[in-house]
Amino acid sequence: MKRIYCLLIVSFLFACEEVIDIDLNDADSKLVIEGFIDNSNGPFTVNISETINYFGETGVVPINVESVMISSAAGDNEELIQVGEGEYRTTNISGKPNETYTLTVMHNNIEITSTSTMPSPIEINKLHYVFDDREFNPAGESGFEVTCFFNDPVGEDNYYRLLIYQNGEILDDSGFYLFDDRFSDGNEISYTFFDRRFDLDDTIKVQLRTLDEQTYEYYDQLNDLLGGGMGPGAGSAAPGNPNTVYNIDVLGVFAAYATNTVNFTIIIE
Amino acid sequence: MAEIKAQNKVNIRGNIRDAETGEDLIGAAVYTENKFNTGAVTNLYGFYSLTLAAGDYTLKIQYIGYEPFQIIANFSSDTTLNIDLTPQSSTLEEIEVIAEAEDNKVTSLEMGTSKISPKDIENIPVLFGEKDVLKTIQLLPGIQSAGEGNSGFFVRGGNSDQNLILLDEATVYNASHLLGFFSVFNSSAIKDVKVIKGDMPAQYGGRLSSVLDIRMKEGNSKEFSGEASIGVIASKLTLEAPIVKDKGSFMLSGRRTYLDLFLRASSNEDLQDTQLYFYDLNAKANYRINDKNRIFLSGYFGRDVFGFEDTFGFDWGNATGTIRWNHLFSDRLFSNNSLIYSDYDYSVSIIDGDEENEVASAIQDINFKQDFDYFLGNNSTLKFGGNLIYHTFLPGEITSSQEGGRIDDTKVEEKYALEGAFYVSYEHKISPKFSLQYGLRYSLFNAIGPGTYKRYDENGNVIEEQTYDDFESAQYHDGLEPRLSFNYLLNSNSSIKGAYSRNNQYVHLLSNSTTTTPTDIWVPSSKHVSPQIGDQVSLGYYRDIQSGKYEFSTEIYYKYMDNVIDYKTGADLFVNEDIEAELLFGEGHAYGVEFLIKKKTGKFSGWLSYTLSRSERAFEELNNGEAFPSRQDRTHDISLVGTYQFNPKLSLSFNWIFYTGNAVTFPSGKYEIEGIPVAYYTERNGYRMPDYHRLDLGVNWITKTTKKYESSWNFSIYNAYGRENAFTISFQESEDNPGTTEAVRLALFSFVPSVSYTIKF
Repeated sequence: MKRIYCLLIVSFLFACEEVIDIDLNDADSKLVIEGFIDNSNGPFTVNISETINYFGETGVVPINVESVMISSAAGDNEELIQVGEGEYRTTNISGKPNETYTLTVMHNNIEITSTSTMPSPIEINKLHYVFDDREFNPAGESGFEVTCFFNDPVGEDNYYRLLIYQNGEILDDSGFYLFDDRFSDGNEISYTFFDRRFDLDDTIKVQLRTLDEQTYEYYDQLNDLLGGGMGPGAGSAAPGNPNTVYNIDVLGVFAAYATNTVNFTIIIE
Repeated sequence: MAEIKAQNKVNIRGNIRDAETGEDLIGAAVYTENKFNTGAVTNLYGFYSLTLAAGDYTLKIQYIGYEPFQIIANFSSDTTLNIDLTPQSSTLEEIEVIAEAEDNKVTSLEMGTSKISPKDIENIPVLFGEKDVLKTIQLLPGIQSAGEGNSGFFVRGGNSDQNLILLDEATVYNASHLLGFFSVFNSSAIKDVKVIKGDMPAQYGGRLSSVLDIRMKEGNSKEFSGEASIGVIASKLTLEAPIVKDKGSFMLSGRRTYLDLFLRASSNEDLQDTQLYFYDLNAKANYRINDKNRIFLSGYFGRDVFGFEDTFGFDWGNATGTIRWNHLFSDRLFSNNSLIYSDYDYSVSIIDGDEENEVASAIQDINFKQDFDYFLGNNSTLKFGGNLIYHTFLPGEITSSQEGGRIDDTKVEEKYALEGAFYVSYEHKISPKFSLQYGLRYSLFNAIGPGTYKRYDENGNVIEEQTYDDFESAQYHDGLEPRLSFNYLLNSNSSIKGAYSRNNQYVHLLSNSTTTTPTDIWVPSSKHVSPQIGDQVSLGYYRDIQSGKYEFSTEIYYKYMDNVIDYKTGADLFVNEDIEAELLFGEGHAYGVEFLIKKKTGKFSGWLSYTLSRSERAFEELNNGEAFPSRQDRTHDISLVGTYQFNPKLSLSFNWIFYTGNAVTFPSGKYEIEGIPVAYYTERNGYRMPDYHRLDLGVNWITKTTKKYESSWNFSIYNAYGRENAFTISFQESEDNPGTTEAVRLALFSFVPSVSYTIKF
């Protein structure tokens, strides 16, 4: 909906955008832990860093911790080895659907944990592209519009994230493509990347990730923040950090997800 | 015999009307010259009733914008006295001080109350030249604009859903068009606007912060007349005529924007199929059956329509209808009976291939209302009555055009409720210097079946769930709302007033955004949601300077609000059956001081208003439980409004607005998730938007006046010095330097000129 307001304002009203200087308070740094496990043999990486000033600084400030462990409900247990500043990697553990994983980080003698369950992967049935010759569409340009089809399993809550890459580059600058089956349980889902248009000969990769509820909500709340600049009064509405996925108030996400990927090239049949 | 009669009390009553159109005048003063303390004020239907000892009197009648009128007569028996007042015409050569200025503000019991007539709105320059009452009231102290060019407003630090907006007594649930840039009130159809900033007399209730009582024109009962106007954004046509001369009349008014007509003319094929417009229709008729009975019928219908032909459609709007019956039981007992309907709904449809999915939400009221005004004489009036509303809430529904398609039909169960109130309010003059109004309102709200009601714990889990039959009571809320105000006259031109009022609010607006948007949802109080309760105390000083040439007033207020609503992080308000579980309940405080100085007469007229205020909220779950400034918190708010009348045909007007930026949440740091910079927030509303200021200019030029018609041009410039006020500030990754982050200010509307041409006939 925010996108629609944005479109309305920019299209029909007298708007003017400018980068401005704002003085922000420097807050105490906060720990950020980011770790992912997918349905592969790994290795999987956990990155630990700290928040930095909003302006002036770039990149991340890595933080080394006492230890990083990943365990599974099935009994696999592994301490990750440090491979770089704030970067820890698995050697043995593999990602299996329907398995629950726990990440444990020891930092300043505090135990930080988070748990995530990997859902079953869902296969992409087909991908469909069609040329849209309008220029006044949500993408703002004519081109091929891509739709992804998959079957939602009936009788369970499913949460999805879709990723799309154009010529090897991920398209995530407008936020994450998320979908849940709240209104579509058990249906064949058609998901259109409505704000993207592609050119002839583009190579495209589409990945369908199945997430657990906690991970889905995390991305959904992150999406609200990333889209926070749009709409009347938005940006002045009160944004907040996403609810933490950890046992204490730490930023970042730990997610176990399953993937299914399709690559193709846009050609004229 | 004659002597005994002289001791008798006599009653004088009647209606006070506009001599040209026959419109009833609301709040006109009728008083005796030799004994100023005896007087009456016309009620909402232009009716007054005055009781005097029989004898000779000079009766004076006054109303803002009209020539004062007086009658010298001997009143020895009960008399019906209808008086027609002549409007002060701007075409008169002499627009100097009127004979005797009104000093209503000093003597009246009303606090925190302002009246606005269409004449006040006429000269004020506004965005796109669309005159708007909701934008005019924002220039008064204590009333804040919800944002750039926005018709939404906040009163004394309250939320936007704490304003009760009434159009001919019907609640208007969403008073904005086109994302709030215009209000639904077509100024050509409006006769009278009254705004009460929290010190409501007992006949009003249901919202914590304010009442905006808007009355439509009744229509010219003398002759056929009308007004047509063409502007840059919309055209309007209003027609009025007697049904039976001096007995009944009607008014019809329509307005439509035509941005889409330009789009249709565009060479871009995609734009040609775009729909973007809104329209309003107002209609009213009244008929005086006899001296004792009069009926009114009025209605409003307006919609916004927006769509791209084959992908997306969005429309929303209000509909209201009111049937009223005024009846005089006796000379002193006036009764009004109303049956009121109001409806707000929206629908969004998304077309995806051959599947069309529609999302809809609505709120609907049927209200029966009975009011009595009992004129006891000696300046005392007793008002009493009650009402009962049957609410229907449709929180959200998804319907799909295709069975077995991508989206299933989903519906959040409708909710039903009865909301009622009984009130009594007594206004009387205890001594020539001291008047008092006190009242009590008992309000009730009964959430009823059919339907399921739930209670949730703090994690959003259901802890109680029960299903109810038709009209079975699920939860009963009620409360006593005392109201009190006094006026103490220090001398003939100054007074001190004070007031206390309590208000209960049983319906709540859930909105994701700072201002009202079409997809806002109204939810009732229920098992889980408690009514909002507000207490306000205020004290004021009023003074007329130079026999009414200037008016000065200042008020100080403190308001406490309980059970105000906010949302959990990531709250999902969209077609959510457990929407109540997403809510947080807390408390709020607001306090401030308001100043208004007004020059009412002469070639130059206008006002300066200044508000110094603070508004805070506290929620256990937010900001570590500490109080934080609310979005409505604005330290300073200044409006300077002026009109210079060069001659009867030409006037220049301006307004200048300054306010402290809203309290906002800005990031205190950042981190990366999957390589994307994400803002890190620490304190809620710990920052300020930049200060806002703006100058608007307008020229009104009457080109031709004859007996039959008048034509005029209006030119205006909104934001005349092109200040780039921040509409939003977004924190985002730089497009030019990926990896770095920047703050981007979006400014709307600098130097927006507009022109309109109006013919009155």
